[in-house]
Amino acid sequence: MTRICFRYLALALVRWSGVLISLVLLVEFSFCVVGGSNRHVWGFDVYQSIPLELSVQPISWWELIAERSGATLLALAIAYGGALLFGYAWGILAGRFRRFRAASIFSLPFSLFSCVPGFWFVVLVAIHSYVVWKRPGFANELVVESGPNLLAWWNAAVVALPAMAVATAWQLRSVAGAIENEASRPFVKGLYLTGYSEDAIFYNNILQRALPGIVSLLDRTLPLVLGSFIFLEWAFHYDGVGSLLVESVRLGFYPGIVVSGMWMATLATAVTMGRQVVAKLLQPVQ
Amino acid sequence: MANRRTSKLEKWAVHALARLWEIRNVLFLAVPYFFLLSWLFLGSSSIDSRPAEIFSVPESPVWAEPDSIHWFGTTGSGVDLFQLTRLAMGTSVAVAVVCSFFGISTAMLVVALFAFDSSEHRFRPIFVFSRAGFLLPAMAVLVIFAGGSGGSLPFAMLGIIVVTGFYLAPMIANWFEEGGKGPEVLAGFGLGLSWQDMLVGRVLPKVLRRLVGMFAQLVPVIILLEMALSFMGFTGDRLGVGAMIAYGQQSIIEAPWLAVCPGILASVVVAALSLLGAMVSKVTRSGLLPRHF
Amino acid sequence: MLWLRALFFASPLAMVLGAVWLFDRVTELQLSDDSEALIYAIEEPIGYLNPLVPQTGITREVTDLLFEPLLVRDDDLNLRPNLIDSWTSRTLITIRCASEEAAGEAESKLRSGEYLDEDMVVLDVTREENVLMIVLDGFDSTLETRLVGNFDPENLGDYRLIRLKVTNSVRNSLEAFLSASVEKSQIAMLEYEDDRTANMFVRGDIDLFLRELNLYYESNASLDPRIEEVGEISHTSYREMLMTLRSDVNWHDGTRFTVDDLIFSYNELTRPNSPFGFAGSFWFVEELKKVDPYRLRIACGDTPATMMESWEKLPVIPKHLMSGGIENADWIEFFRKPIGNGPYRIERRRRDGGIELAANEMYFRGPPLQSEVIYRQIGSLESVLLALRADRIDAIVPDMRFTDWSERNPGVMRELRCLPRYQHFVAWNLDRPPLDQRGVRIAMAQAVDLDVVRRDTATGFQTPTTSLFFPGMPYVGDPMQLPTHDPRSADRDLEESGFAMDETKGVRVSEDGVPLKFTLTINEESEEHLRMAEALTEQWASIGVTVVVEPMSWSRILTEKLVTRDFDAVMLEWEIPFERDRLATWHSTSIGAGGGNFCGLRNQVVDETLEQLRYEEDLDAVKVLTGRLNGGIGGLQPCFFVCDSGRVLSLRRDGIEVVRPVKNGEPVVQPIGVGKAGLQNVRPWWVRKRIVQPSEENSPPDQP
Repeated sequence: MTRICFRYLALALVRWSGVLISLVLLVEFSFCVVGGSNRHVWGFDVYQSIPLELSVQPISWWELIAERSGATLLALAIAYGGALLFGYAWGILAGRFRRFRAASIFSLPFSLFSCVPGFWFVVLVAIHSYVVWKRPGFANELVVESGPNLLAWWNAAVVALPAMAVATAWQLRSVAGAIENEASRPFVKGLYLTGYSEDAIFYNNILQRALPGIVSLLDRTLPLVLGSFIFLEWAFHYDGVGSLLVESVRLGFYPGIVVSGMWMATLATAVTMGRQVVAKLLQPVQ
Repeated sequence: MANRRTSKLEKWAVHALARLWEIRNVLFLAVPYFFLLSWLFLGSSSIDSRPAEIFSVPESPVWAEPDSIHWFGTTGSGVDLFQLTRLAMGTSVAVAVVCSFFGISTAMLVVALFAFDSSEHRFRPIFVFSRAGFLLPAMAVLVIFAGGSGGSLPFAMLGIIVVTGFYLAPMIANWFEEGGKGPEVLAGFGLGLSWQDMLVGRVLPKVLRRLVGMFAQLVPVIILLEMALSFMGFTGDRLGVGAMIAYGQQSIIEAPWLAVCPGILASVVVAALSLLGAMVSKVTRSGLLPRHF
Repeated sequence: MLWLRALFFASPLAMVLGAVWLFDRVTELQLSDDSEALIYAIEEPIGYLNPLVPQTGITREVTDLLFEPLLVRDDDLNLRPNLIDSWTSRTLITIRCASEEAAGEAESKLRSGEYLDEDMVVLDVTREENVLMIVLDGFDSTLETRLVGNFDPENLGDYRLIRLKVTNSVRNSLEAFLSASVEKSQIAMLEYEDDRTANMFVRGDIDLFLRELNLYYESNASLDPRIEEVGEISHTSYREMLMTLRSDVNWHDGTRFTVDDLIFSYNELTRPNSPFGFAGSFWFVEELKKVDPYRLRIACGDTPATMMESWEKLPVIPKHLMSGGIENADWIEFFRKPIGNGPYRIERRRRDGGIELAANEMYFRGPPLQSEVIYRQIGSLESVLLALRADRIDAIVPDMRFTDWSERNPGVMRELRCLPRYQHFVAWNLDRPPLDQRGVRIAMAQAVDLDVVRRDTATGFQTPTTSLFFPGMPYVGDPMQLPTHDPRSADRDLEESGFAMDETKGVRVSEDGVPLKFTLTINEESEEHLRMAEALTEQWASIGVTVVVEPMSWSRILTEKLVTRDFDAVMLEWEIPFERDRLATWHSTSIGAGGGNFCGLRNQVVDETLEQLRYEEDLDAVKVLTGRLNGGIGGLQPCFFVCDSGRVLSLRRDGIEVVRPVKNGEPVVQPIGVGKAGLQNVRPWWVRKRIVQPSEENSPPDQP
């Protein structure tokens, strides 16, 4: 177990380092080679104090990252957690009722919602707040000065919902697809002919055999959710890591770009590593 | 009853009807595409397409709420919002088609560099590189590239093409691998055909058929990407649905329809293209297209 | 197992239910009711509330509400008591008479008024043997000369005054000398002015004594002795001011404001290594001595007419909180939530970067009627409009979008323009060619059409510069005449200065072929200066002058450019002070380290005018001097004055009135305005007009 963990940790570190180098090169290429900026990534003057545009109060790096990470992690818990919950629960259910095209039916509302531009959805929520609730609608306009911060959950939920819809649609179809692949093998017909019940065949055979494949889908939607957060947070004026990336790009603030990009990459790396360890442990011993 | 000689015209008509029936799936899919794209691309282009000009609010704005004449209302300078949105959607679809095409071409090019190698792990570099690259969200790469290069449409399109190619290459490589293990390929080996012959004659046609479905499904995704970049201001000062919604935000209290209505049309068009794309993909994968497609 | 499966498949519905519950609760959320507070919508977070450093904008406004100045300006811009309740100035003259009898005779003549001129007011006369000590009211520099001149010469002692100055401990070294001195019998009287100065009144043949004194102190060269034979003088004088503070002023934590706070603030701000730059304004102060908790004696080595203007500038901070070897971090933390003594105190800092203030119940003029003021940072125009509709905002720091909206919707807001008290200018380095030539500087001014450069923004307006002095000051004479826009004259001036136009290249070149070019340094954090620099550069280019704009951080401008005077031209901004003393800015002695004369102006007429301005008491004469200074600077053009600027605020129409409390009387209600002295005089008295509902209008008034 320890060897497996160390092996995947080393692999994760190599990939993480590759992403860091690629990100730095991307910033340099985009801003300096293509954009014509005189400020290079290796220039000392680039690493100055945090611009005031990025925070309401004078703030240290650690405080900025902690504040933004907290906000994004809350939204991520809702979006990614929801995608996994809906995706796996209803994906397996869709696999069970594959004869009735349950996967298409269950994923239809999420797929339709995915066609709605996420940034437009959050702007609609803000407009609704202004017009119907007569309250400021964007995330940074109302600050709860005292009492339980229900508004923080609401703001996180608004940002998470469009990302969750896209991720859930994909996750649901992928889980159902993996189960259907397994269900189309010849042994299933054999079990039917032998006289096993539908439930027994599905839960005791198909699902168990499909488990490694399903587990391998655990981390696939995370980059999609994180990528969606970039424009969703910015559209809703939600102070998270995604909006930090956009604001840093607009300001040409390289440290902000690298920090926010690597924050996302670190999270994806950690989850991927976890998935690989779990998948390895679930693999049947040869 | 004696044999009745059928006329040439009759023969031709029956033959044509049979062919039409054969390609009914194609027709069923092509007609809505044709109508949708015609409607989008044939919109009025005489309007000044710079959002900063269109959405600048004069001292005495003449905006109108949605009504029977102006379905989406008008801007502060009196321009019909529905026509503007149609024009913007047309541009977005055109951008998406171009980016999809070149993105898929880029992916095919990359895969082709490795496909003709007959070794078992010929696509390993692609898979290794992509596993690391997937850790950084594609949107982050696009935002950095488009924003850093000055926020213009050509660079945004270039970024989308490169990112699309990067994400599609492993998928296409998988198709080549699956195709390379099919029964007809094994039979070809038995007959003594070379790897190049089998690749070109047996694997590639199947991959190309699936590319049609991939292309159709990719277009709505890239439309959403382009709208998001346009909303963030990374596609230059040109008319796009994202830019329209961004500008509409500035008048939420006075004219909320400026931000609301463009999104409605965008959602409908993207949903329609997604549905059509799903059907095209299903048809190409399940072999319902006639042999000459 | 079926129930487990059902639970698993139904679990996503729990999330849906949670979402519905959240939506329900959020729908019921209400905004907090701040209906009694005066609410101010701000654009940027409020920074550190530090009265010791120059500030602008909302941070300055809040700081002025928290800290009370020592003196204030009334509506005619005359200086009036505030924390300082009263002050008197006195001249103490010590006269050494020939003998005790002579002293007695002189005393009686003094008391009878025989020795006194009309303007001399004697506060006290004391006699000790042959020494008379006379206290006269006022600081007139001619007092002692005239008084002594009125004495009968035979009554005065014939002494020669020898003044000894050393670096320190003059008493120790002099007593050591005297203990061994042979000639010390020449000394009739000995007086110690302070720790460094001793006055010896000697009689008879003093040459031997001086020789002995010189020999002794030459062997003590480390004391840096200076021995001065002042002359035949039988008197010394000493000037002091007696300042009385108000006894009813408290800090926000209830501690009484006393002389200790004033002395502490003075010492902190004027010590040699102080970063605050106040030392130069108090050169005339020799010593501060506490008389009692509310009275302070100030020994003055000089008596400029502008003394009280220096005290006006001095901010006061609480000694009981800031003394005792506190660290830098403590200072920073203090200025985040400072304890002041002004009409408002800080209730709390808001999470949105704003601040909540509450009226100071212990305020010595009476607590403001507006009990709460809230500065809120509101993120968008939409929220501002929502709040306006619900009457939840009374004042706004506008941005361009809001300004556009209010132009489209007239009648909702009212614009309030504060005084234009910030001056923007380009300081030339007069020691660097080609700007050392007056003709070039005049040409640079003539080449620019300032109407094109000046621009009103959402938060500020810009007006032409007319004077070096605060607008409306009673002591200001003729305005500053600046060169008018005249490109032809600019061409001619440049030609006469030796810079001809090279038509092929479109630039001016000297006779040696060197192009006319300089670098303009600007503060990179100031968008307005960047815009101005670009506009100026464009206009100067039209007459063939090449300007390279060099944006730089303010700290670098201070350390690398201004202190070392290593620049061609730098764009600066300063707040126009109330005071008339400008010696530190324009006098030739202020060039170099520690001085404010960055331009390096050296002009005898300007120097003399500045020196006279410091001491002149007559208002009409002051007006002539200020007019002369305006004229001199305008003519010499050491700076190119771009504009004066002021703040713009947007107030809800008929939403605020000014109510000044009057002790034991009815409050005085005035319409909203700025006043001659600026916003800080009226701002504490802003009161939100209560929005009267229609039903209230019809209901009968409450019976007592």
